[in-house]
Amino acid sequence: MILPLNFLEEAKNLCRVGQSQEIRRRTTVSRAYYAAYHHALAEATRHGYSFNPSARKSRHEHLLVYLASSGKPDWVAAADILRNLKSIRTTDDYHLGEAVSAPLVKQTIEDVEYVIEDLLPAPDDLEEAT
Amino acid sequence: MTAPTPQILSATLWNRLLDLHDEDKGELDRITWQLRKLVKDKPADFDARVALALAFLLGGNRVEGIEHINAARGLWLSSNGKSIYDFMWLLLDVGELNVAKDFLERFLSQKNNSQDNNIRNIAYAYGIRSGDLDWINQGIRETGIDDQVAKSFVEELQRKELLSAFQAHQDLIESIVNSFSCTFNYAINLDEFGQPVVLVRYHTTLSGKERLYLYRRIADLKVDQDVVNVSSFISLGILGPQIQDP
Repeated sequence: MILPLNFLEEAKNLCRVGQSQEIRRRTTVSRAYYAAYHHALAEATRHGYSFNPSARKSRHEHLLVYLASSGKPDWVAAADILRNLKSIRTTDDYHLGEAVSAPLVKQTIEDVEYVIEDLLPAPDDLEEAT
Repeated sequence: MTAPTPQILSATLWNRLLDLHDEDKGELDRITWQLRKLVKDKPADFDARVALALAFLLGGNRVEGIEHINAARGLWLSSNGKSIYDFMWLLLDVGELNVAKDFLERFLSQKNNSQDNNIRNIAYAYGIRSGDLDWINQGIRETGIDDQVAKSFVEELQRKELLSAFQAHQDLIESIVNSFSCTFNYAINLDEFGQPVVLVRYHTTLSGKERLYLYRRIADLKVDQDVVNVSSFISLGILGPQIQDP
């Protein structure tokens, strides 16, 4: 089964191959965002989260509201970063006239790593850290 | 061939600044060098000061950016034309919100602003950054430019009784981000369910882990002050300098 970290690895691979092509920059951001989204979804689910289809929100927004309302500062910070990454990904995939720069791509990957490693560490990561 | 006048040269360099892409650090450094020379030769040139301030801020140099904003402030009366708008934007960029508001009010009292997009955008920017959303309505009123998305943003917060929470949220963000802010931009959009959302991006002096630290401090305060209920209306981006090496 594919894991959230596989999305991040693919984003980093794309970044390493080179960022001179715009399509590669856009794809990198998209893969990186989904790494953070799926990781956050897995962590939230582990803590009892489930999507409510009658909430009149997308699955992504529903998760963000859950994290933002958790009362846990690191989860709130993760929600802020994810929301920003989501808007960058939307630009990348839907607004083709707006530029996606190499520095922005680099920061996107950094932010995804913060979400996965610092803000929403999986239990294995916590054990390694202690 | 004759050399361009300082006015033409500063306008040319300003336009080159606006054409830069986020990875054009080398070109930014060259323009900054030319503007430094121009300001050294003509220290009372308002347009050149404004352009040099922007050049520094785009590269993440807040200290020197503010230095030239302050110098330009004293030259305000000698200015005319579009660089006054640019100057007000610079004040907002570095978070000099009260000064920006003062200039905006003086400007509004002196000029017919009908259909003036610049004024509308500056009023919105002030309103969003300060959390005082009356300025969005004022921007629409002053210019007569209808803007259903911006109106719906304010109305939705009003309907959900979240205007004061939005103000508290933005005050909180300012208390953390203000002293690092170099440039600021925003957009008001509708999400896939038609809910209005404001996207705010602060380009700062910071990089790497320092940005994470700011997100964490903001989250701590949000939980403490219980303003997470406006989070779904705001997308907050804290980024490094706007123009960097790729």
